Amino acid sequence: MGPVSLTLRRHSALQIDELLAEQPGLRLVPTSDRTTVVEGVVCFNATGPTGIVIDDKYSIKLRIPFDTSKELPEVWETEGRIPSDFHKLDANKLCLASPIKIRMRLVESSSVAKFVSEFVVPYLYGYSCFEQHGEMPFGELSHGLEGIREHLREMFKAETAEFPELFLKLASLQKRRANKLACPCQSGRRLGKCHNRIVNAQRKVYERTWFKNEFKRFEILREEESKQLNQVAKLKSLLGMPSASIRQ
Amino acid sequence: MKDFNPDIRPQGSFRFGTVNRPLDEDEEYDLDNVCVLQDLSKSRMTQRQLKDLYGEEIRAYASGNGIQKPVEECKRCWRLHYADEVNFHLDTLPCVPEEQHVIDRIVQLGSSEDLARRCVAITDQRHPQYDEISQNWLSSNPRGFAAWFEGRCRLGRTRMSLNEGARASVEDVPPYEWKTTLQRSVQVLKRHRDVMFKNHTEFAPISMIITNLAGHAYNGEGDLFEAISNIVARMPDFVRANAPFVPNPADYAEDYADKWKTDSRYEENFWRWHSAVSADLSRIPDWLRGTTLNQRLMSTFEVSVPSSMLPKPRPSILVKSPAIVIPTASKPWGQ
Repeated sequence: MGPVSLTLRRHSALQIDELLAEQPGLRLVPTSDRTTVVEGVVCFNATGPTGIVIDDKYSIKLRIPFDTSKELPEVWETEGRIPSDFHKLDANKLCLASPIKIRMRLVESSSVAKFVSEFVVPYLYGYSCFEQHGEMPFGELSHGLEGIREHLREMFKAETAEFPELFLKLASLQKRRANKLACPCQSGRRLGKCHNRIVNAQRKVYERTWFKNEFKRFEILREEESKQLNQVAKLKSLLGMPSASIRQ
Repeated sequence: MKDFNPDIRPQGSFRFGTVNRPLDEDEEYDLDNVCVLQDLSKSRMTQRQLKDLYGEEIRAYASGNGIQKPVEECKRCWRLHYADEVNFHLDTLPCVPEEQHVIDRIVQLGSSEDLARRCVAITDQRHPQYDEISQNWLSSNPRGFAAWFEGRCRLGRTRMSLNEGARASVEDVPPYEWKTTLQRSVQVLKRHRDVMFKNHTEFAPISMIITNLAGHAYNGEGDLFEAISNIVARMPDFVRANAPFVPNPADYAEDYADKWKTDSRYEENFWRWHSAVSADLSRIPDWLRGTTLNQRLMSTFEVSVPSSMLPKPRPSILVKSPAIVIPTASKPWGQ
Protein backbone atom coordinates (compact mmCIF):
# COMPACT_ATOMS: atom_id res chain seq x y z
CA MET A 1 0.00 0.00 0.00
CA GLY A 2 1.24 3.49 -0.79
CA PRO A 3 1.50 6.52 1.48
CA VAL A 4 -1.37 7.01 3.93
CA SER A 5 -2.97 10.10 5.40
CA LEU A 6 -2.16 11.29 8.91
CA THR A 7 -5.70 10.46 9.98
CA LEU A 8 -5.36 6.89 8.78
CA ARG A 9 -1.97 6.55 10.43
CA ARG A 10 -3.46 7.67 13.70
CA HIS A 11 -6.41 5.32 13.31
CA SER A 12 -4.08 2.39 12.58
CA ALA A 13 -1.97 3.20 15.65
CA LEU A 14 -5.06 2.79 17.82
CA GLN A 15 -5.21 -0.84 16.62
CA ILE A 16 -9.00 -0.90 16.65
CA ASP A 17 -9.01 -3.78 14.16
CA GLU A 18 -6.84 -5.84 16.48
CA LEU A 19 -9.05 -5.02 19.44
CA LEU A 20 -12.25 -6.01 17.61
CA ALA A 21 -10.62 -9.26 16.49
CA GLU A 22 -9.43 -10.12 20.02
CA GLN A 23 -12.74 -9.19 21.63
CA PRO A 24 -15.61 -10.22 19.35
CA GLY A 25 -18.15 -8.92 21.84
CA LEU A 26 -17.03 -5.30 21.45
CA ARG A 27 -18.41 -2.78 18.92
CA LEU A 28 -17.14 0.58 17.80
CA VAL A 29 -19.62 3.39 18.45
CA PRO A 30 -19.33 6.55 16.33
CA THR A 31 -18.81 9.86 18.12
CA SER A 32 -19.12 13.44 16.96
CA ASP A 33 -16.00 14.56 18.76
CA ARG A 34 -12.64 12.98 18.19
CA THR A 35 -12.85 10.40 20.96
CA THR A 36 -12.96 6.69 20.24
CA VAL A 37 -15.73 4.79 22.00
CA VAL A 38 -16.08 1.03 22.17
CA GLU A 39 -18.91 -0.83 23.91
CA GLY A 40 -19.98 -4.36 24.52
CA VAL A 41 -18.84 -7.52 26.23
CA VAL A 42 -15.26 -8.31 27.15
CA CYS A 43 -14.53 -12.02 27.58
CA PHE A 44 -11.50 -13.68 29.01
CA ASN A 45 -10.25 -17.05 30.15
CA ALA A 46 -7.25 -16.22 32.29
CA THR A 47 -4.93 -17.72 34.85
CA GLY A 48 -3.24 -15.34 37.23
CA PRO A 49 -0.07 -15.55 39.33
CA THR A 50 -1.77 -17.54 42.08
CA GLY A 51 -3.11 -20.13 39.63
CA ILE A 52 -6.78 -19.16 39.83
CA VAL A 53 -8.53 -19.74 36.49
CA ILE A 54 -11.36 -17.37 35.67
CA ASP A 55 -13.55 -17.69 32.58
CA ASP A 56 -15.78 -14.65 32.70
CA LYS A 57 -17.28 -11.73 30.83
CA TYR A 58 -18.28 -8.15 31.62
CA SER A 59 -20.24 -5.45 29.85
CA ILE A 60 -18.09 -2.37 29.47
CA LYS A 61 -17.85 0.99 27.78
CA LEU A 62 -14.46 2.40 26.90
CA ARG A 63 -13.72 5.97 25.90
CA ILE A 64 -10.32 6.96 24.54
CA PRO A 65 -9.78 10.73 24.30
CA PHE A 66 -8.11 12.24 21.29
CA ASP A 67 -5.14 13.55 23.26
CA THR A 68 -4.17 10.95 25.85
CA SER A 69 -1.37 13.14 27.16
CA LYS A 70 -4.04 15.48 28.52
CA GLU A 71 -6.83 13.08 29.48
CA LEU A 72 -6.86 9.48 30.57
CA PRO A 73 -8.92 6.78 28.86
CA GLU A 74 -12.12 6.02 30.78
CA VAL A 75 -13.74 2.65 31.34
CA TRP A 76 -17.13 1.83 32.87
CA GLU A 77 -18.65 -1.51 33.76
CA THR A 78 -22.20 -1.07 32.55
CA GLU A 79 -24.24 -3.70 34.38
CA GLY A 80 -23.62 -2.65 37.95
CA ARG A 81 -21.81 -5.85 38.80
CA ILE A 82 -18.75 -4.12 40.24
CA PRO A 83 -19.74 -2.16 43.36
CA SER A 84 -18.89 1.53 43.59
CA ASP A 85 -16.48 1.02 46.47
CA PHE A 86 -14.22 -1.29 44.49
CA HIS A 87 -11.40 0.74 42.96
CA LYS A 88 -13.50 3.26 41.18
CA LEU A 89 -13.25 6.96 40.49
CA ASP A 90 -16.24 9.28 40.71
CA ALA A 91 -19.08 8.46 38.35
CA ASN A 92 -18.30 4.77 38.44
CA LYS A 93 -15.24 4.89 36.26
CA LEU A 94 -12.95 1.95 36.86
CA CYS A 95 -9.62 2.79 38.47
CA LEU A 96 -7.46 0.45 36.49
CA ALA A 97 -4.05 1.48 37.81
CA SER A 98 -1.99 4.40 38.99
CA PRO A 99 -2.61 7.21 36.49
CA ILE A 100 1.14 7.65 36.10
CA LYS A 101 1.51 4.06 35.02
CA ILE A 102 -1.32 4.40 32.50
CA ARG A 103 0.18 7.55 31.03
CA MET A 104 3.57 5.84 30.79
CA ARG A 105 2.07 3.01 28.71
CA LEU A 106 0.23 5.47 26.49
CA VAL A 107 3.49 7.28 25.75
CA GLU A 108 4.86 3.98 24.52
CA SER A 109 1.83 2.95 22.49
CA SER A 110 -1.56 4.41 21.60
CA SER A 111 -2.94 0.93 20.90
CA VAL A 112 -6.40 0.46 22.42
CA ALA A 113 -5.96 -3.30 21.97
CA LYS A 114 -2.88 -3.20 24.22
CA PHE A 115 -4.66 -0.95 26.71
CA VAL A 116 -7.50 -3.44 27.04
CA SER A 117 -5.28 -6.50 27.37
CA GLU A 118 -2.83 -4.80 29.74
CA PHE A 119 -5.19 -2.88 32.00
CA VAL A 120 -8.85 -3.75 31.47
CA VAL A 121 -8.74 -7.55 31.32
CA PRO A 122 -6.45 -7.92 34.39
CA TYR A 123 -8.64 -5.50 36.35
CA LEU A 124 -11.75 -7.53 35.53
CA TYR A 125 -9.91 -10.78 36.24
CA GLY A 126 -8.90 -9.25 39.56
CA TYR A 127 -12.48 -8.38 40.42
CA SER A 128 -13.68 -11.89 39.52
CA CYS A 129 -10.99 -13.32 41.82
CA PHE A 130 -12.07 -10.95 44.56
CA GLU A 131 -15.74 -11.77 44.03
CA GLN A 132 -15.24 -15.52 44.00
CA HIS A 133 -12.20 -16.10 46.20
CA GLY A 134 -11.78 -12.93 48.21
CA GLU A 135 -8.26 -12.32 46.99
CA MET A 136 -6.63 -9.62 44.89
CA PRO A 137 -4.26 -11.54 42.61
CA PHE A 138 -2.01 -8.63 41.76
CA GLY A 139 -2.35 -6.76 45.01
CA GLU A 140 -3.92 -3.36 45.13
CA LEU A 141 -2.88 0.22 45.66
CA SER A 142 -4.20 2.40 48.44
CA HIS A 143 -6.57 5.11 47.48
CA GLY A 144 -5.49 8.58 46.53
CA LEU A 145 -2.05 10.02 46.85
CA GLU A 146 -0.69 7.20 48.96
CA GLY A 147 -1.60 4.70 46.24
CA ILE A 148 0.30 6.72 43.67
CA ARG A 149 3.27 6.89 46.03
CA GLU A 150 3.15 3.09 46.35
CA HIS A 151 3.34 2.81 42.59
CA LEU A 152 6.23 5.29 42.41
CA ARG A 153 8.17 3.33 45.03
CA GLU A 154 7.82 0.27 42.80
CA MET A 155 8.66 2.24 39.68
CA PHE A 156 11.90 3.62 41.12
CA LYS A 157 12.63 0.56 43.25
CA ALA A 158 12.86 2.65 46.40
CA GLU A 159 10.67 1.15 49.11
CA THR A 160 12.10 3.42 51.76
CA ALA A 161 11.22 6.70 50.07
CA GLU A 162 8.66 8.59 52.11
CA PHE A 163 8.08 11.06 49.27
CA PRO A 164 8.86 9.14 46.06
CA GLU A 165 7.29 11.93 44.02
CA LEU A 166 10.67 13.61 44.40
CA PHE A 167 11.96 11.09 41.88
CA LEU A 168 9.59 12.68 39.36
CA LYS A 169 11.16 16.04 40.16
CA LEU A 170 14.68 14.67 39.79
CA ALA A 171 13.86 12.96 36.51
CA SER A 172 12.66 16.31 35.18
CA LEU A 173 16.05 17.88 35.84
CA GLN A 174 19.21 17.48 33.84
CA LYS A 175 21.29 14.52 34.93
CA ARG A 176 24.20 16.58 36.19
CA ARG A 177 22.03 18.75 38.39
CA ALA A 178 19.81 15.94 39.64
CA ASN A 179 22.75 13.75 40.67
CA LYS A 180 23.96 16.38 43.15
CA LEU A 181 20.70 16.36 45.10
CA ALA A 182 19.74 14.04 47.95
CA CYS A 183 18.29 10.68 46.93
CA PRO A 184 14.60 10.47 47.89
CA CYS A 185 15.13 6.95 49.25
CA GLN A 186 16.54 8.67 52.35
CA SER A 187 19.80 6.75 52.29
CA GLY A 188 21.59 9.99 53.05
CA ARG A 189 23.59 9.72 49.84
CA ARG A 190 23.21 11.97 46.85
CA LEU A 191 21.30 10.64 43.83
CA GLY A 192 24.50 10.25 41.79
CA LYS A 193 25.71 7.64 44.25
CA CYS A 194 22.37 5.99 44.84
CA HIS A 195 19.29 5.49 42.66
CA ASN A 196 20.68 7.40 39.67
CA ARG A 197 20.71 4.44 37.27
CA ILE A 198 17.00 3.90 37.34
CA VAL A 199 16.29 7.63 37.17
CA ASN A 200 18.55 7.92 34.12
CA ALA A 201 16.88 4.97 32.45
CA GLN A 202 13.36 6.33 33.02
CA ARG A 203 14.42 9.83 31.94
CA LYS A 204 15.67 8.42 28.63
CA VAL A 205 12.37 6.70 27.88
CA TYR A 206 9.83 9.32 28.95
CA GLU A 207 11.91 12.51 28.78
CA ARG A 208 12.27 15.42 31.15
CA THR A 209 9.17 17.31 30.03
CA TRP A 210 6.95 14.33 30.70
CA PHE A 211 8.32 14.04 34.24
CA LYS A 212 7.94 17.78 34.77
CA ASN A 213 4.24 17.49 33.90
CA GLU A 214 3.77 14.42 36.09
CA PHE A 215 5.36 16.16 39.05
CA LYS A 216 3.08 19.16 38.51
CA ARG A 217 0.05 16.86 38.40
CA PHE A 218 1.12 15.19 41.61
CA GLU A 219 1.48 18.55 43.36
CA ILE A 220 -2.01 19.55 42.25
CA LEU A 221 -3.40 16.28 43.59
CA ARG A 222 -1.53 16.82 46.86
CA GLU A 223 -2.98 20.30 47.24
CA GLU A 224 -6.48 19.02 46.59
CA GLU A 225 -6.07 16.20 49.02
CA SER A 226 -4.68 18.43 51.75
CA LYS A 227 -7.62 20.82 51.23
CA GLN A 228 -10.00 17.90 51.69
CA LEU A 229 -8.11 16.74 54.79
CA ASN A 230 -8.29 20.24 56.25
CA GLN A 231 -12.01 20.37 55.62
CA VAL A 232 -12.54 17.02 57.30
CA ALA A 233 -10.37 18.08 60.25
CA LYS A 234 -12.38 21.31 60.61
CA LEU A 235 -15.63 19.40 60.47
CA LYS A 236 -14.40 16.95 63.07
CA SER A 237 -13.31 19.70 65.45
CA LEU A 238 -16.68 21.38 65.02
CA LEU A 239 -18.38 18.14 65.93
CA GLY A 240 -16.00 17.61 68.82
CA MET A 241 -14.51 14.49 67.32
CA PRO A 242 -10.85 13.45 67.67
CA SER A 243 -8.97 14.54 64.58
CA ALA A 244 -7.03 11.32 64.05
CA SER A 245 -5.79 10.65 60.56
CA ILE A 246 -8.65 9.38 58.41
CA ARG A 247 -6.48 7.13 56.34
CA GLN A 248 -4.69 4.28 57.97
CA MET B 1 -36.25 25.40 -21.61
CA LYS B 2 -37.36 23.18 -24.48
CA ASP B 3 -35.32 25.32 -26.88
CA PHE B 4 -32.15 24.29 -25.12
CA ASN B 5 -32.72 20.61 -25.87
CA PRO B 6 -32.83 19.23 -22.34
CA ASP B 7 -31.62 15.71 -21.61
CA ILE B 8 -32.88 14.42 -18.28
CA ARG B 9 -31.58 11.25 -16.69
CA PRO B 10 -31.76 9.70 -13.26
CA GLN B 11 -28.61 9.81 -11.15
CA GLY B 12 -27.40 8.52 -7.82
CA SER B 13 -28.56 5.34 -6.17
CA PHE B 14 -31.64 4.99 -8.36
CA ARG B 15 -29.45 5.09 -11.45
CA PHE B 16 -26.92 2.70 -9.96
CA GLY B 17 -29.58 0.31 -8.70
CA THR B 18 -28.31 0.56 -5.12
CA VAL B 19 -31.30 2.12 -3.36
CA ASN B 20 -31.93 1.12 0.24
CA ARG B 21 -35.10 1.47 2.20
CA PRO B 22 -34.63 4.25 4.80
CA LEU B 23 -34.10 3.01 8.38
CA ASP B 24 -37.08 4.91 9.70
CA GLU B 25 -40.46 4.69 8.10
CA ASP B 26 -40.80 8.47 8.30
CA GLU B 27 -37.60 9.12 6.39
CA GLU B 28 -37.73 10.01 2.72
CA TYR B 29 -36.07 8.30 -0.20
CA ASP B 30 -33.52 10.46 -2.02
CA LEU B 31 -33.90 10.67 -5.77
CA ASP B 32 -31.56 12.56 -8.05
CA ASN B 33 -31.65 13.53 -11.66
CA VAL B 34 -29.53 15.66 -13.94
CA CYS B 35 -30.91 17.92 -16.66
CA VAL B 36 -28.29 18.78 -19.31
CA LEU B 37 -29.32 21.70 -21.52
CA GLN B 38 -27.48 20.46 -24.54
CA ASP B 39 -27.87 23.56 -26.73
CA LEU B 40 -26.87 26.06 -24.07
CA SER B 41 -23.37 27.27 -23.39
CA LYS B 42 -21.80 29.10 -20.45
CA SER B 43 -21.34 32.28 -22.49
CA ARG B 44 -25.11 32.79 -22.89
CA MET B 45 -26.11 33.27 -19.28
CA THR B 46 -24.84 33.47 -15.73
CA GLN B 47 -25.09 30.52 -13.36
CA ARG B 48 -27.82 32.30 -11.43
CA GLN B 49 -29.82 32.92 -14.58
CA LEU B 50 -29.72 29.25 -15.53
CA LYS B 51 -30.64 28.19 -12.01
CA ASP B 52 -33.57 30.60 -11.88
CA LEU B 53 -34.84 29.69 -15.33
CA TYR B 54 -34.80 26.04 -14.41
CA GLY B 55 -36.42 26.86 -11.09
CA GLU B 56 -39.37 28.42 -12.89
CA GLU B 57 -39.85 25.23 -14.89
CA ILE B 58 -39.72 23.14 -11.77
CA ARG B 59 -42.23 25.33 -9.96
CA ALA B 60 -44.55 25.15 -12.93
CA TYR B 61 -44.22 21.39 -12.94
CA ALA B 62 -44.90 21.25 -9.22
CA SER B 63 -48.07 23.34 -9.31
CA GLY B 64 -49.23 21.58 -12.47
CA ASN B 65 -48.94 18.24 -10.70
CA GLY B 66 -50.53 19.16 -7.40
CA ILE B 67 -47.35 19.03 -5.35
CA GLN B 68 -48.24 20.76 -2.09
CA LYS B 69 -44.89 21.44 -0.50
CA PRO B 70 -43.04 24.41 -2.00
CA VAL B 71 -40.06 23.78 -4.22
CA GLU B 72 -36.82 24.24 -2.26
CA GLU B 73 -33.67 25.83 -3.66
CA CYS B 74 -30.39 24.13 -2.74
CA LYS B 75 -26.83 25.17 -3.53
CA ARG B 76 -26.68 23.37 -6.85
CA CYS B 77 -30.12 21.88 -7.43
CA TRP B 78 -33.86 22.28 -6.87
CA ARG B 79 -35.65 19.97 -4.48
CA LEU B 80 -39.17 18.67 -5.00
CA HIS B 81 -40.97 16.98 -2.13
CA TYR B 82 -43.34 14.20 -3.10
CA ALA B 83 -45.74 12.68 -0.65
CA ASP B 84 -47.38 9.65 -2.10
CA GLU B 85 -47.57 6.07 -0.90
CA VAL B 86 -43.87 6.48 -0.46
CA ASN B 87 -42.23 9.66 0.82
CA PHE B 88 -39.40 10.92 -1.32
CA HIS B 89 -37.76 14.05 -2.57
CA LEU B 90 -36.16 14.66 -5.94
CA ASP B 91 -33.02 16.76 -6.32
CA THR B 92 -32.84 17.98 -9.88
CA LEU B 93 -29.60 19.49 -11.16
CA PRO B 94 -29.48 21.86 -14.15
CA CYS B 95 -26.25 21.98 -16.14
CA VAL B 96 -24.67 22.50 -19.55
CA PRO B 97 -22.23 20.35 -21.52
CA GLU B 98 -18.57 21.00 -20.81
CA GLU B 99 -16.20 22.40 -23.39
CA GLN B 100 -13.71 20.31 -25.26
CA HIS B 101 -10.67 21.81 -23.57
CA VAL B 102 -12.09 20.84 -20.17
CA ILE B 103 -12.76 17.33 -21.43
CA ASP B 104 -9.19 17.19 -22.72
CA ARG B 105 -7.89 18.24 -19.31
CA ILE B 106 -9.89 15.46 -17.68
CA VAL B 107 -8.45 12.92 -20.13
CA GLN B 108 -4.97 14.21 -19.28
CA LEU B 109 -5.64 13.55 -15.60
CA GLY B 110 -6.24 9.91 -16.43
CA SER B 111 -9.88 9.31 -17.35
CA SER B 112 -10.86 7.64 -20.59
CA GLU B 113 -12.27 9.73 -23.43
CA ASP B 114 -15.55 7.84 -23.25
CA LEU B 115 -16.08 8.76 -19.60
CA ALA B 116 -14.67 12.27 -19.83
CA ARG B 117 -16.97 13.38 -22.66
CA ARG B 118 -20.00 13.09 -20.37
CA CYS B 119 -18.71 15.87 -18.15
CA VAL B 120 -20.98 18.84 -17.40
CA ALA B 121 -20.65 22.37 -16.06
CA ILE B 122 -22.86 23.01 -13.03
CA THR B 123 -24.10 26.06 -11.09
CA ASP B 124 -23.16 26.57 -7.47
CA GLN B 125 -24.42 29.44 -5.29
CA ARG B 126 -21.04 29.60 -3.56
CA HIS B 127 -19.13 30.17 -6.78
CA PRO B 128 -17.40 33.60 -6.89
CA GLN B 129 -18.66 34.23 -10.46
CA TYR B 130 -22.21 33.07 -9.80
CA ASP B 131 -23.60 36.36 -11.10
CA GLU B 132 -21.19 36.91 -13.99
CA ILE B 133 -20.96 35.66 -17.53
CA SER B 134 -17.91 33.46 -17.25
CA GLN B 135 -16.31 30.38 -18.72
CA ASN B 136 -15.28 29.41 -15.26
CA TRP B 137 -17.99 27.12 -13.86
CA LEU B 138 -17.59 24.08 -11.61
CA SER B 139 -17.19 20.81 -13.46
CA SER B 140 -18.80 17.57 -12.49
CA ASN B 141 -19.21 14.19 -14.11
CA PRO B 142 -22.06 12.24 -12.56
CA ARG B 143 -22.97 10.52 -15.82
CA GLY B 144 -19.37 9.47 -16.36
CA PHE B 145 -19.30 7.98 -12.88
CA ALA B 146 -22.52 6.08 -13.54
CA ALA B 147 -21.10 4.65 -16.78
CA TRP B 148 -17.92 3.61 -14.96
CA PHE B 149 -19.88 1.99 -12.14
CA GLU B 150 -22.02 0.05 -14.61
CA GLY B 151 -18.84 -1.24 -16.22
CA ARG B 152 -17.66 -2.48 -12.83
CA CYS B 153 -21.02 -4.23 -12.22
CA ARG B 154 -20.62 -6.05 -15.53
CA LEU B 155 -17.41 -7.64 -14.28
CA GLY B 156 -19.61 -9.99 -12.35
CA ARG B 157 -21.79 -12.54 -13.98
CA THR B 158 -23.40 -11.42 -17.18
CA ARG B 159 -26.43 -13.41 -16.25
CA MET B 160 -28.39 -12.41 -13.21
CA SER B 161 -31.90 -12.79 -11.95
CA LEU B 162 -34.57 -10.19 -12.43
CA ASN B 163 -37.65 -9.63 -10.33
CA GLU B 164 -39.61 -12.05 -12.45
CA GLY B 165 -37.10 -14.79 -11.85
CA ALA B 166 -36.26 -15.02 -15.55
CA ARG B 167 -32.59 -14.98 -16.45
CA ALA B 168 -31.28 -12.48 -18.94
CA SER B 169 -28.08 -10.73 -19.82
CA VAL B 170 -27.16 -7.23 -18.69
CA GLU B 171 -27.71 -5.88 -22.17
CA ASP B 172 -31.42 -6.62 -22.18
CA VAL B 173 -32.40 -4.46 -19.22
CA PRO B 174 -31.49 -0.98 -17.96
CA PRO B 175 -28.82 -0.82 -15.22
CA TYR B 176 -31.20 0.18 -12.46
CA GLU B 177 -33.01 -3.11 -12.92
CA TRP B 178 -29.90 -5.22 -12.70
CA LYS B 179 -29.26 -7.04 -9.48
CA THR B 180 -25.58 -7.74 -9.80
CA THR B 181 -23.36 -8.79 -6.94
CA LEU B 182 -21.66 -5.40 -6.85
CA GLN B 183 -24.96 -3.57 -6.50
CA ARG B 184 -26.09 -5.90 -3.73
CA SER B 185 -22.76 -5.47 -1.99
CA VAL B 186 -23.10 -1.69 -2.05
CA GLN B 187 -26.59 -1.97 -0.59
CA VAL B 188 -25.38 -4.13 2.29
CA LEU B 189 -22.48 -1.80 3.03
CA LYS B 190 -24.73 1.26 2.97
CA ARG B 191 -27.18 -0.45 5.30
CA HIS B 192 -24.40 -1.26 7.74
CA ARG B 193 -23.40 2.40 7.64
CA ASP B 194 -27.01 3.52 8.19
CA VAL B 195 -27.38 1.40 11.32
CA MET B 196 -23.97 2.22 12.75
CA PHE B 197 -24.43 5.98 12.31
CA LYS B 198 -28.11 6.07 13.19
CA ASN B 199 -27.50 8.62 15.98
CA HIS B 200 -24.51 10.34 14.40
CA THR B 201 -25.53 11.09 10.86
CA GLU B 202 -23.40 14.24 10.52
CA PHE B 203 -20.08 12.47 10.00
CA ALA B 204 -21.33 9.22 8.49
CA PRO B 205 -19.38 8.21 5.36
CA ILE B 206 -21.43 9.31 2.35
CA SER B 207 -22.92 6.82 -0.09
CA MET B 208 -20.91 8.13 -3.04
CA ILE B 209 -17.68 7.32 -1.22
CA ILE B 210 -18.83 3.80 -0.39
CA THR B 211 -20.14 3.24 -3.94
CA ASN B 212 -16.95 4.60 -5.52
CA LEU B 213 -14.57 2.53 -3.38
CA ALA B 214 -16.69 -0.60 -3.72
CA GLY B 215 -16.64 -0.14 -7.49
CA HIS B 216 -12.84 0.00 -7.47
CA ALA B 217 -12.36 -2.84 -5.04
CA TYR B 218 -14.82 -5.26 -6.67
CA ASN B 219 -13.15 -7.86 -8.83
CA GLY B 220 -15.97 -9.78 -10.43
CA GLU B 221 -16.79 -12.10 -7.53
CA GLY B 222 -20.09 -13.93 -7.91
CA ASP B 223 -20.77 -14.94 -4.32
CA LEU B 224 -22.14 -12.06 -2.25
CA PHE B 225 -20.27 -12.76 0.99
CA GLU B 226 -17.01 -13.26 -0.88
CA ALA B 227 -17.57 -10.05 -2.84
CA ILE B 228 -18.33 -7.93 0.24
CA SER B 229 -15.39 -9.38 2.19
CA ASN B 230 -12.97 -8.72 -0.64
CA ILE B 231 -14.40 -5.27 -1.31
CA VAL B 232 -13.98 -4.25 2.33
CA ALA B 233 -10.47 -5.75 2.48
CA ARG B 234 -9.32 -3.88 -0.63
CA MET B 235 -11.11 -0.57 -0.10
CA PRO B 236 -8.25 1.16 1.75
CA ASP B 237 -5.99 0.68 -1.29
CA PHE B 238 -8.17 3.08 -3.24
CA VAL B 239 -8.18 5.90 -0.71
CA ARG B 240 -5.45 8.40 -1.49
CA ALA B 241 -3.26 9.94 1.19
CA ASN B 242 -4.04 13.52 0.15
CA ALA B 243 -6.78 15.33 -1.72
CA PRO B 244 -8.40 14.20 -3.95
CA PHE B 245 -8.92 11.38 -1.42
CA VAL B 246 -11.65 9.56 -3.32
CA PRO B 247 -11.65 10.92 -6.87
CA ASN B 248 -14.28 10.33 -9.53
CA PRO B 249 -12.67 7.94 -12.08
CA ALA B 250 -14.47 9.97 -14.73
CA ASP B 251 -12.82 13.21 -13.53
CA TYR B 252 -9.91 12.94 -11.12
CA ALA B 253 -10.28 16.55 -10.08
CA GLU B 254 -13.69 15.76 -8.56
CA ASP B 255 -13.21 14.53 -5.00
CA TYR B 256 -16.15 12.79 -3.34
CA ALA B 257 -14.32 13.17 -0.05
CA ASP B 258 -13.69 16.89 -0.36
CA LYS B 259 -15.09 17.44 3.14
CA TRP B 260 -12.19 15.45 4.54
CA LYS B 261 -9.95 18.48 3.96
CA THR B 262 -12.09 20.73 6.12
CA ASP B 263 -12.68 18.52 9.17
CA SER B 264 -10.78 15.37 10.07
CA ARG B 265 -13.84 13.88 11.76
CA TYR B 266 -15.18 12.91 8.34
CA GLU B 267 -12.15 10.82 7.55
CA GLU B 268 -11.89 9.48 11.11
CA ASN B 269 -15.44 8.20 10.95
CA PHE B 270 -14.83 6.63 7.55
CA TRP B 271 -12.01 4.55 9.00
CA ARG B 272 -14.11 3.76 12.07
CA TRP B 273 -16.88 2.51 9.81
CA HIS B 274 -14.34 0.47 7.84
CA SER B 275 -12.97 -1.14 11.03
CA ALA B 276 -16.48 -1.90 12.24
CA VAL B 277 -17.74 -3.45 9.02
CA SER B 278 -14.52 -5.50 8.64
CA ALA B 279 -14.95 -6.84 12.17
CA ASP B 280 -18.65 -7.60 11.69
CA LEU B 281 -17.99 -9.47 8.45
CA SER B 282 -15.31 -11.59 10.06
CA ARG B 283 -17.69 -12.44 12.91
CA ILE B 284 -20.50 -13.71 10.68
CA PRO B 285 -19.16 -17.29 10.53
CA ASP B 286 -19.30 -17.38 14.34
CA TRP B 287 -22.82 -15.97 14.35
CA LEU B 288 -23.86 -18.70 11.93
CA ARG B 289 -22.57 -21.33 14.33
CA GLY B 290 -24.29 -19.99 17.41
CA THR B 291 -27.79 -19.17 18.49
CA THR B 292 -27.63 -15.39 18.33
CA LEU B 293 -27.75 -14.92 14.55
CA ASN B 294 -31.11 -13.19 14.47
CA GLN B 295 -30.19 -10.81 17.28
CA ARG B 296 -26.88 -9.98 15.59
CA LEU B 297 -28.49 -9.33 12.23
CA MET B 298 -30.92 -7.00 13.94
CA SER B 299 -28.29 -5.03 15.80
CA THR B 300 -25.92 -4.78 12.83
CA PHE B 301 -28.25 -4.37 9.86
CA GLU B 302 -31.67 -3.87 11.44
CA VAL B 303 -33.11 -6.72 9.44
CA SER B 304 -35.17 -9.53 10.73
CA VAL B 305 -34.89 -12.82 8.90
CA PRO B 306 -37.75 -15.33 9.24
CA SER B 307 -36.59 -18.34 11.22
CA SER B 308 -37.39 -20.66 8.33
CA MET B 309 -34.56 -19.00 6.42
CA LEU B 310 -31.99 -19.21 9.20
CA PRO B 311 -29.55 -22.12 9.31
CA LYS B 312 -30.13 -24.48 12.22
CA PRO B 313 -27.68 -23.77 15.02
CA ARG B 314 -25.27 -26.66 14.99
CA PRO B 315 -24.86 -28.50 18.28
CA SER B 316 -21.33 -27.41 18.93
CA ILE B 317 -18.88 -26.80 21.69
CA LEU B 318 -19.33 -23.33 23.10
CA VAL B 319 -16.74 -21.05 21.55
CA LYS B 320 -14.47 -20.09 24.42
CA SER B 321 -12.09 -17.17 24.69
CA PRO B 322 -8.50 -18.17 24.10
CA ALA B 323 -6.81 -19.09 27.38
CA ILE B 324 -4.29 -16.52 28.53
CA VAL B 325 -1.92 -16.23 31.43
CA ILE B 326 -1.49 -13.00 33.37
CA PRO B 327 1.67 -13.40 35.43
CA THR B 328 1.71 -9.82 36.58
CA ALA B 329 -0.44 -6.74 36.18
CA SER B 330 -1.07 -3.26 37.56
CA LYS B 331 -2.56 -2.85 40.97
CA PRO B 332 -5.94 -1.19 40.77
CA TRP B 333 -6.21 2.21 42.39
CA GLY B 334 -8.97 4.54 43.46
CA GLN B 335 -9.45 8.14 44.58
